[in-house]
Amino acid sequence: MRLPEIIVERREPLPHYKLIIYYIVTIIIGFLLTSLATIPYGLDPFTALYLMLKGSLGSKYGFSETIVRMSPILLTGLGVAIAFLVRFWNIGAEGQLYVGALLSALIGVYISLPKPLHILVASVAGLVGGALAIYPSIYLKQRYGVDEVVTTLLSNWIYILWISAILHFYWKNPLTHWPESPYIHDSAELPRIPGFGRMHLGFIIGIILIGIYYIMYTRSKYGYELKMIGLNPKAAYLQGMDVDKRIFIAALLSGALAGLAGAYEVMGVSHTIREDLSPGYGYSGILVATLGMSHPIGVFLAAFFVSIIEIGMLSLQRTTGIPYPLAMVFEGSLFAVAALTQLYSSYRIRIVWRD
Amino acid sequence: MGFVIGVLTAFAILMIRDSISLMLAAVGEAYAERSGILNLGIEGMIMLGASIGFVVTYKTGNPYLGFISAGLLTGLLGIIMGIFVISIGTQQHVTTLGFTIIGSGLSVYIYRLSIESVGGVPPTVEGFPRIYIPYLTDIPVIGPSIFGQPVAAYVVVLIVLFLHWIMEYTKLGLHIKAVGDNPKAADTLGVNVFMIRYLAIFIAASTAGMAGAWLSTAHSNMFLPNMSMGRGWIAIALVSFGMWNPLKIILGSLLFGGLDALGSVAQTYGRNIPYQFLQSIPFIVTILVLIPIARRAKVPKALLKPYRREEAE
Repeated sequence: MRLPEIIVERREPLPHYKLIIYYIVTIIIGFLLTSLATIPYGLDPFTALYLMLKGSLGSKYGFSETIVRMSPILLTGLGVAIAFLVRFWNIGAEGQLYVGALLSALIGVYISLPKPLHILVASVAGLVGGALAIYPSIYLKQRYGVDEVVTTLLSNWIYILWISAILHFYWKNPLTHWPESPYIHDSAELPRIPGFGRMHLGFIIGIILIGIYYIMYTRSKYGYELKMIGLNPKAAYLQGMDVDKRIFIAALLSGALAGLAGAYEVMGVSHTIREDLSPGYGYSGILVATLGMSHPIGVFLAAFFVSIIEIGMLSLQRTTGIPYPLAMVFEGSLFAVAALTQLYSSYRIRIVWRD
Repeated sequence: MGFVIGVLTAFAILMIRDSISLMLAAVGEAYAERSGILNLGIEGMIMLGASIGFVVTYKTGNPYLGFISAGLLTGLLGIIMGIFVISIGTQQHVTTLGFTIIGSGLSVYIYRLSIESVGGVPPTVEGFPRIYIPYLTDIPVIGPSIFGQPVAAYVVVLIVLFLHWIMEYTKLGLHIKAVGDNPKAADTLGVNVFMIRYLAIFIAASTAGMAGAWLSTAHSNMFLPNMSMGRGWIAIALVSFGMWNPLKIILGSLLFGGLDALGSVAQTYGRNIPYQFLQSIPFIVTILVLIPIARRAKVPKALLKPYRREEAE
C-alpha cells in the first residue's frame, strides 16, 4: 500500500509578494471547504458567496452594519496584536472587554458631565477596566511564571460570570426589569455618523489608533524593540532592554484596548451593558491579530474581512436559513490558515507517496 | 433533617456527574500533552461530541451508539488537527485554538441540520438508563450518587482507569512519555514519533468527544450551544494541576466537580444567592492552584515543539 508522507523542509524566506499570494490562495481553499456545508441547504458555494457579499457590502444598511461590527473587532484585534507582538498570549480579550464595558457604564449612569468630557471620562474608564482585568494575568506570569494562556482564558469566564451576577442581582434596569444596567446619560453616548445607521465615532477612533500603531510599528524605536523582544527575547535582554517591563506595558495596553472596545459598545451601540453585549468580539480579535500577523495593515484588513464574513453570514441565515455558526467553522479554519502561512515563509511543504 | 439530606444527596449526585466529563476530557488531554501537543481544541471538541452524541442518540434511540460515534468522529477531527500540528508542525496555540472554534461552530451546524425543534423547545432524548442496585442505591447520599448514576458513568470510570494503566504501566505509555520529552532519542530507539503523537491526539480528541456526549445524553438529556461552559479549559488546567499523572487528574476532577456542584445546588436551593459567583469558583481555584506549581511543574520537555527529523539536535 502506498502511503502519503508530509515532508517539511527549511528554505530561504519567501519574498513578501509570494507569501501574500500563498496566503490568499489558502484562505480561498478554506472558504471552498467550509462552503461545502451550504450544499445540504440547496445552495452552491458561489451563490452563497454572492449573497454574503450582497448582505454585508451590497447596501448602505449592510455596509454600515459591517462597520458597526468592525469597530470593536478592530480594537480587540489591535490590543491582541500588541500582546502577540511580544509573545504574550492574551486569550482573554472577551473578559477584558466586559470589564471595560462595566466601568464605562458605571461612569455613564452615575456621573453627569458636559458631553465631550463625559465621553472622555467614560472612555478612560473602559481603558482602565480592561487594564485592570488583564493585570492579574501579567502579574502571575512575571512573578510566579504561571502560563498566561490558561489564566487569560479562565479569566474570561470569571469576569463574565461576575458581570452576569451583578446584572441579575444588583443592577437591574428599573425601567425594563431585564438583566441590563440602567441606560447611560445622553452626554455619555458616542455621536453617530449621520447617514450611516448605527455607525459611531468609535470606528474613527479605532482607525486613528491603528494609524498610531502603524507609526509605532514601522518608525519608532519602541516598536522595533517590541518586535525584537517577540523574535528573540534573549538577544533583546543582552542588548540591555528591560524586557519584562516592555512586555508588562504591551500586555497592559492590550487589555486596555479590549476594555475600550467594550466601552464603545456601551456608549455607541447599546447604551446599557447586557450579558450578551459581545457575540465574541474578543475571540474575533484573536483571529484578527493572528490573521493580520500583528501588522497594523494586516490587522485592519483582517478586521474588515472578519466583519464581512460575520455580517454576510447573518444575512445568509436570514435569507436562506443556513446556520450562522458556519461562520465560526470558517473563522476557525482561518487560524490554521494563518499558522500554515507563517510556516510557508521559511519552510517548504511537500507530500510524497511512499511504499 | 430531611431537607439537609436532600441537599447533600443532590450535591453528591451532581459532584459525581460534573466530575465525569472533566476526568474523561482531562485524562485525554494529558495524553496529548505528554506526547508534546498542547490541545486547546478540547473545548470545541467537547461541544462537537455533545452535538454528535445527541443527534445519533435522537435518531437511533441508542445512547451507546451516540457515545461511540461522538468518540470516533471527534477523534477524526483530532486526526485532521494532527496533520497540522504533528506532520506539518504549525504553531500549536494558534492552530488548536482554531479547532475549538471549528468544533463549536460545527456542533451547532450539525445539530440544526439534523434536528428540527418544534416551537423553539429543544427536544430531549431518553439517554442512558440509571443503574439501580437493591440496598446499595438506597443508602442515603452515597447510594444514589455512587450506585445510581447513568450506565455511561461506570464506563467512563473504566476508561480513565484503563488510560491510567496504559500511561503508567505499559510500554506504550513509556513511548508516549518519551516522545513528549525527547522525540529525537525516542526516534533513534526506533519509536515512530509521528505515529505515537497521532495516537495520543486521537485519544485526546475522542475522550473530549465522549465527554461531550456524556453532557448531552447523560448529564442533561438535551443539546444546547456552548453547553460545555468552559469545561475544556478547566480540563486543561486540571492536567497541570494533576502534574500530567492520570490518577491525580482523576482525583482533581472530583474536587472540581464538587465546586461545580456547589454552584448548581446553590442555584436550586438559594434563590437569592448570586449563583454565578459560585460558578466562578472552579475557575478561580484553578488559577490559584497553578501559582505554587508553575515553576516546579514537570512540563513535558518537547511540549509545543514540532518534531522534524532533519533539524532535531
